[in-house]
Amino acid sequence: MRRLLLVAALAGVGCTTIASPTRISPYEYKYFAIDGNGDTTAITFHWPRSMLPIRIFVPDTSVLRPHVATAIQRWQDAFLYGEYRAVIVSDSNQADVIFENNLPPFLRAGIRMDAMAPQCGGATDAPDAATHTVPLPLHSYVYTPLPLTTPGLDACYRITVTHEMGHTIGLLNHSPFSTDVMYSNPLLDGISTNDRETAETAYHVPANAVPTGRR
Amino acid sequence: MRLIHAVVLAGFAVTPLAAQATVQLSAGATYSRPLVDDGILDTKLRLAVAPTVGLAVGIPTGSGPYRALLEGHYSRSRPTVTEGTGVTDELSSVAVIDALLMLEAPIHGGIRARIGGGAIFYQPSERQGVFLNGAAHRWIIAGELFGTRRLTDRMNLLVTGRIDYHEFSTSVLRARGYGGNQSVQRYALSVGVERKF
Repeated sequence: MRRLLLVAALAGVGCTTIASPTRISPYEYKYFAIDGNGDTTAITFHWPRSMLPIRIFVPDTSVLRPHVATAIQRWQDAFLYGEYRAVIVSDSNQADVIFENNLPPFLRAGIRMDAMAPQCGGATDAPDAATHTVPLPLHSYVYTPLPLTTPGLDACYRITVTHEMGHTIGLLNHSPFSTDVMYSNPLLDGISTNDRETAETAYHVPANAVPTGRR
Repeated sequence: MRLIHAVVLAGFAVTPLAAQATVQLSAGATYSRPLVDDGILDTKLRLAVAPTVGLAVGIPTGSGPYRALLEGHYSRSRPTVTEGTGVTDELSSVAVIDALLMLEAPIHGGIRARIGGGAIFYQPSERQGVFLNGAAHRWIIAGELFGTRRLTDRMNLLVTGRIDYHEFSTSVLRARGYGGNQSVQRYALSVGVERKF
């Protein structure tokens, strides 16, 4: 009888839950714009799990391609529960996000870096504030006015692609801290704890903008 | 309750198991409680019910009816994420292997019990999320109750119910400030055969 009780006791042994840390105050990641009624609106967006993995197109021959792969890995690794997953696709018609090594089109609404980094700059399409939608495909532009042989350009591309991809995952604003890759003029070649925790927060509060267009 | 007891005993006709060397093969399924129950992000990570295979080698311990067994189980399933909103998603598969040293004793007739411990290993197919740093291993304790039915002089049929317990965490969770561990109970049912030597 004792043996039976011992075995049965295993069923109820221990009931501790892992202690999740509180996230430090994330920086502002919402996009503020004027909506259709002329009022200021705060837009939040994250990719729904039903759309994962997100399909990203960057031309095979683009100088951005290895940096896009690095940025995907960095942002995927920021999450604990697979909230964001992405793959590079070979057909731009199938893509949710397109990375271009060009200047953004004139007057296209975008989240742009406030100041261009020394060697390169970037911009990403903004959500549609009037309809609370994110029209697909999203475009990110990473460009340089300098020759491709300029020292430091490779690192600038890597940092800027990571920053622009941060906008495409739903960080629709800039960090006020220069130690974050989502700072308006980023220097960090990676993702900070602050960036990670802000992204986690963005993916665990309801989004009020939805992707539209493809799919 | 007595009726259930009687049915169980009738199903597993008394098979005197004098302690002797045996090899056991089994197949079944394992259900696991959540590996992580994240109260802040309101997310649960659990393994789906997994097909499981097991191998055990039994070694007699003296002249009594007791014996020691080295036991191992292998299962593979995809972790399921469930968010507070009810949204669910599946991640890349994870293989779970446990290695146990068990002590076995008769309970009644063909019903026997085992208790022991060992280690459990999580081997993800992709470095991702809580398994970003790859494999993880933890200590585990386990208890089993099983019935035997004689097939031939050297072969028995086994039906086993197993409960085990470990405390889950990974280096990624610890690095990101997760304190303590998640209590994880697993429940397994299997059918197998035992070959005596």
